[in-house]
Amino acid sequence: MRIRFLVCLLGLRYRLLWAQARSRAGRVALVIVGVMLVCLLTAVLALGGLGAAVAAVRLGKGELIAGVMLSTFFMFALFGALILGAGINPAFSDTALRRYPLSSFERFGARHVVGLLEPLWIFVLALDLGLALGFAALGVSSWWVALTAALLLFSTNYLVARVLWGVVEHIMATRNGPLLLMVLVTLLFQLPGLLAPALARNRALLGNARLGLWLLPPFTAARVLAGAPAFVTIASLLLLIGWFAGLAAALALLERQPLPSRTVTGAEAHWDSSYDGVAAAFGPVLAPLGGKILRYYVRSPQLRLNYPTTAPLMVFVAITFARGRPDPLAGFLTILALISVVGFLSMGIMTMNVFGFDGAGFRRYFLLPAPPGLVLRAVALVPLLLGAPLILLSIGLWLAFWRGHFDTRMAVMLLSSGFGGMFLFQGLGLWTSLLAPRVMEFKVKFCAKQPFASAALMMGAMLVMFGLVAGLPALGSKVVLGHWWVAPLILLATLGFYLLTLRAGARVFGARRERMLSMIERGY
Amino acid sequence: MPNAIEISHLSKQYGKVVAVEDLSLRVPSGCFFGFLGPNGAGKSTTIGCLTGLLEPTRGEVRLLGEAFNSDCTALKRRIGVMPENLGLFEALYAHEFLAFQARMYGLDEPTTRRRVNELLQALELTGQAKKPLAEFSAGMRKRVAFAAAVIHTPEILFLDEPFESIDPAGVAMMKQWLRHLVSEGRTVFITTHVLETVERLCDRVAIIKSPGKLIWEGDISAFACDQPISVNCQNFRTLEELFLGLSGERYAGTLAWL
Repeated sequence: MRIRFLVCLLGLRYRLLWAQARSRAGRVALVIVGVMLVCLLTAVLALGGLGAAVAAVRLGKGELIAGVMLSTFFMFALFGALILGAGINPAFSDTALRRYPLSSFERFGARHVVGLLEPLWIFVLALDLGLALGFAALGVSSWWVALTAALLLFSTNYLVARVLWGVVEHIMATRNGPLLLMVLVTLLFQLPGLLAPALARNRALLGNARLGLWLLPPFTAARVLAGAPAFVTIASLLLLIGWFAGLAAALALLERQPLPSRTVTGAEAHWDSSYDGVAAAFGPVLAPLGGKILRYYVRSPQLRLNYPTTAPLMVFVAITFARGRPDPLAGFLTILALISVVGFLSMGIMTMNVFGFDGAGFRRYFLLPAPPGLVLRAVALVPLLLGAPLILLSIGLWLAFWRGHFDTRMAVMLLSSGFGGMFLFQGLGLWTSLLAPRVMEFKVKFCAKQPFASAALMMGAMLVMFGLVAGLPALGSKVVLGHWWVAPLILLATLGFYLLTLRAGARVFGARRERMLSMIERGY
Repeated sequence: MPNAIEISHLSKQYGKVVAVEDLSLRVPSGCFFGFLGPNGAGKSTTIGCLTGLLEPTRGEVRLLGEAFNSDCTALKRRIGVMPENLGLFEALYAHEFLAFQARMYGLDEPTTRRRVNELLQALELTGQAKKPLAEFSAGMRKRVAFAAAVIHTPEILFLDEPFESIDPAGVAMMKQWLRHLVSEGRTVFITTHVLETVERLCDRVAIIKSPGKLIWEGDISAFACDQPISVNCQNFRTLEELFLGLSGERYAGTLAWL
């Protein structure tokens, strides 16, 4: 591979990143991310490295603790990449690189070397190196061996994320892809609950499971770091090299497979569309806009993954989380917390940045004979239309499994929490759509990088949810039920906020038209 | 009959950058008007101000005899626009997008379906019903954008570089439709870099240069005579000579290494 091309591409990648900082929002994001990254890296290298290694060695469980920590870093990276979309979407596509005189191997290598130098992966590398060098500093393993193991583990981590991402892309490209993925994700969440009793009953199975775990990259690297005998160290390093080679080959094979195309050519226009039938409920004035926005929501590949999985996942989490808790209504308190975000999280990717998906079409809203308020109302009504049934479905699904006490107060609280959360977060999503829009690629099926404001809102919603999950049980079901009337009051308040948002937002939409055009069409 | 378009002292500024400065222009009704200028002269910004996309910093715009701004939804119903970047909703199919346009401009359902089907047939876009606009070629997207601009039979049609990327047959058909629109008394306001098209189609032409300053306006028939046009003590025989001479556009000589 010609290194000078790689260096040029790397330089271009960081120049593009810096170019995003030309806008005020971009500078803020880059400074915050940059400062955060530096502080976190320093803290992580200091604490995660030597501190963890010292603790592990003193406890006499170096290999186990190193394995658990490296596994945690590994899963953190996968979560960040696959769920949050950090560091996974390629900076340069293969198509974009074809304009340069590069071989297919050079393009493959260039894309992934540039991909490895994304902020998320730099952070993960710091975590892995910190721990490895901590062990080396204590003399448990040699510097070169520790460094090699850490680099191999890090590369393997990246490749696993890329392969999984590629598999998900291929699944999503098929006709029943979203449904299949929903089933797989649900099964994955069910797996620990299903496996635990079987493992507890069957010692041989438990032994095999432990062996399987020990062959995985994090525990293999942990064996090397903890100063295993030479033979074991060499075998472990060879195993890591094997993982690396196998995953690299799998990735190359996956990238060679074209995504199945779902376009049907030669088809005639289908006029009796259910989208327009549903949008007709908005009234004749809003119906055309409603139909258009509904199509965008329903056809969004990311929504088609998130929307059907939200209700079963929420109910599953509510049931599992409440198991074994002393409060007989713990399950109710958990679903009460989770339902507050159901009407938002499933569609948040669009709701928080709805105009970003219009791209060049955004300017058409201002050419149409429609006031900005009308456009905003249509944009606001569609996610309400989609969120409401999801809330009701989640409650219904949970009730189907709930065996405890249930009364009218609990029903009122559940509905208030669901709809109140929907009004609050969707209202906030309208503001992020108006104040911080960013062009988003509509056809990205998974892990789209979100604008900073949208990501912050999403995190805020998750924090509220986790806060309620932790806080409500702390209050106890007696207190919560005793103050059931607070929930409908909160619902009324959030509805008021939502209606005020629609009114104020219409003025802001008209006034910020040109700024939004610039942000969506030019990126600053 | 009032002028179709009246621009009085139009200025548009983006912060300190002046995109259009003190532009005044009148376009009679039933005129095929060519609006020319080099790249970055302010043509698209001017069209943006004329169609409600952008708010002028100063000046006034009147369309069909009435004052116009971005809130005039009634006037917007009477104009059609094919913007510079086409402004398509790319996740929609062609017939969905055109039907959306038609309904937004107040056409009833039977008329919408009939016109959409006819437009798709005429523009050779049938058989692409299940293909989102994002997957259309550049020329096909332009055809859809053109169809969206005319579907509601507007009284004024604003077209920003409509012919680029379209094949000769498509261009010929669009020209035929535009001539028909003008013969019916409607007004077409067009920007393009293809001067031969301007010479063949347009009745009047205005040339601007950065920042949106009008440097010449006149009838295209002036070039039909043997007499050259005299401007600023320079004589020009063709529109191309006039354009290059007044706009300051110069083509570079050959590069030694090329």
